[in-house]
Amino acid sequence: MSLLPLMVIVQTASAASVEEEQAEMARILEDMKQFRENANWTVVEKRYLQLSEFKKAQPTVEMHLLGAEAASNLGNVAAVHERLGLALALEGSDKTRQWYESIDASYAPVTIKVPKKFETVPELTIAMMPFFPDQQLALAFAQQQIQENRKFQGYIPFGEYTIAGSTFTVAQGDRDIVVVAKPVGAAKSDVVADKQDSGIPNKGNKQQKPSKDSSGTGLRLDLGVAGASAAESSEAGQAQGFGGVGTRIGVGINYGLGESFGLVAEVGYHGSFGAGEAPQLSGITSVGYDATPTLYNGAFGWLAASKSFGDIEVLVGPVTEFASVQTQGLNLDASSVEYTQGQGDYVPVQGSILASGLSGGITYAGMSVGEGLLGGVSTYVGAQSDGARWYTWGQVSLTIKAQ
Amino acid sequence: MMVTMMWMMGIQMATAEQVQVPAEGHAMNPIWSPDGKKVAFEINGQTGSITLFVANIDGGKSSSVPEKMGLKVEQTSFGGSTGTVTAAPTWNPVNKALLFEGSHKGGSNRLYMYSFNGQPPYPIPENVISGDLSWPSFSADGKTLLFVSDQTGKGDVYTLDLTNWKTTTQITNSEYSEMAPKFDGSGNIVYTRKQNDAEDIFVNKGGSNSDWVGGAGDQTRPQWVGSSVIYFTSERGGGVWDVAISAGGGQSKTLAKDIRLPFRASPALSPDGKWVAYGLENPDKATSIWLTKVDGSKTISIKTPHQACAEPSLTEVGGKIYLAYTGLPSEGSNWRQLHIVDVTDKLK
Repeated sequence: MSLLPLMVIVQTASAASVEEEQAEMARILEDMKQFRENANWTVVEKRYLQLSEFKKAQPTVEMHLLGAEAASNLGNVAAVHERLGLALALEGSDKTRQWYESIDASYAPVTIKVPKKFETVPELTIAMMPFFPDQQLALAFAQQQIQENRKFQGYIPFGEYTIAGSTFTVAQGDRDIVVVAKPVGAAKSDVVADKQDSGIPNKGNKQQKPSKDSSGTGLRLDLGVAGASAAESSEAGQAQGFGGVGTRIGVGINYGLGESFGLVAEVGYHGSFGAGEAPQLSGITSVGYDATPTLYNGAFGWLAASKSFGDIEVLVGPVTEFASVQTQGLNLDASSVEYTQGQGDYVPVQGSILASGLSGGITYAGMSVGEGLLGGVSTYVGAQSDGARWYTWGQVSLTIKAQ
Repeated sequence: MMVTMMWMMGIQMATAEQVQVPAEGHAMNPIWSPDGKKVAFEINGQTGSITLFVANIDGGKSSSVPEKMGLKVEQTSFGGSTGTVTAAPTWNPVNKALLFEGSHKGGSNRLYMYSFNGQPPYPIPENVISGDLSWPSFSADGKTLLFVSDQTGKGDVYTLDLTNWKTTTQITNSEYSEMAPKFDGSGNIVYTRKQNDAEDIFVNKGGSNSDWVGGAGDQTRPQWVGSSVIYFTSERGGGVWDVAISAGGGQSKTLAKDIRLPFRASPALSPDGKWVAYGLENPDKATSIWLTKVDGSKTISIKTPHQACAEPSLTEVGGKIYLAYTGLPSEGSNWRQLHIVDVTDKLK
């Protein structure tokens, strides 16, 4: 059996399918025109979007221009930009090019995000409302997108804008301005303007996605309780292992580095207390040994990298702590002739420690606790060494940090 | 570009530049843009269509082929250009957008804004205000559009807040038809009311409407000049028109008689507001555009090589004052043509 008849049939069917699609697209075009007459731009927009569902036939210049007009009347300038670009790729009429180029003369692409920390989505406002209706529609579209999606990525007219108390300016030549709304009182450096050269893109142009999302510094406070343990030292003449519980307070800054990364720098106080142990051995108390509590007063510095996953932040980084310590018990060796083995466990010991290591933790901060501040809880652990032993600690704290 | 320069009886005529138009018809109603770099005008082919054009002007000369202000309907497969009217241009003093009246095939007369960016003209939406819309003009700050709507069945004056394109305010609500409203720099509005078969001038100050000047015949198309109002009047009857000025209280002073009434425009003022320009009906005097000081102290003429000169419009750009006017050529075309002439030396 020859395959030739089948190939002919297949080719014929394929050609007919393209024609069918073109015919259907022509019908949709007429539909678009009719709804255009009634200024029903929502339907014109829907019809235009239907055109993109066809696989074989391509929309014509007229279809793209009607789609651009619909998008313009709905305020979606990014769609206007794209559709005019598509029309220009097919046919470069002066009027279409003029329209296309006028977008960069009046608008700039921006990305505006409103974090979920806002219970009520703040309104985007412009200092001086433009008189041109298409520009007003573009602003209204951006406002609507922000309210509905907490995000807008598109074009807005040049002007001075405010959202959540932060002001930013959109001007000619700006490209890919990224704005992350922050409550009033938060760090003002929440606007990143990454200016790039503008140009006329080719067919199918898409807006460049911003490379940055946020930056800036904000305060951070950790107030918690911590348990600490100093391991046994193998060296003679060193204090025996000790431990205790106490407070650990850190204050510092968050510094945003982009989408979700950041740095945290903290300094603070670490205090620990442990009860001493009175000698139980017969005869020891009689020679003057009492229980000596552990008193640990330290100052630490911590630098950590952070990565946010929504309201959860994971941190890890080096920590250094200097502390003065009083505790009880001394490691003895054969040369420690002045103490008996039993006595060494009850000898008061005082000294200082400089230990470094690594600390990390997890913070969940999803509650607004004031203007520009988020509250939550953190849990941290750390391990530091002074060369003679390891010091480990764990902490649970209340955390307040800037949004 | 045709340059016409003539010497006649020792009088130096103005060197007038003709704005070439890619359409046949009478050139009418030239209106300068606020920066003097564009002039909008109409072409009436007397076929039921009137088409608005805008010419770019550089140094008193048209620098490109005038741009046609079409309604989008003309570019679709529905209808055609027949019966389409785009006319009555007015410029926003701040954003320099052009606002004009447009209608298609006898449909509603609506107002459209065009921003010279390639986009189709944007209409004032029906859901903002319905009816036939006409007589557009702007406030000094460009934020408010003043116009007339007949949505109640008669013409009333309304404002539209252009900072939202939604808020309309009805200024007049009489049983008569109001027309031709214009703001002054303080937000006062002068307009005319057609009552008892005659048109009189009224003013809205602080939200209160009161009559300004009336009389026999029509007092029409008022324009503020300082705190006074300059307008056309047919009070002498017989179909003749004069230019008059009134400071209110029913008193008026005639500045020029037997003028050629422009097709739509209000009296044309010089950029400094000291002169009013007009054409005259008398054929012997209609080869000039005439200018009279608004205080009536002086009248001069701008001699042209054209006939039936009328519809003057004045602007100042780069320290020069340009006059646009329409007139018939001495011979040749049956259509009125648009000309531009530098009149700096005459007015300074």
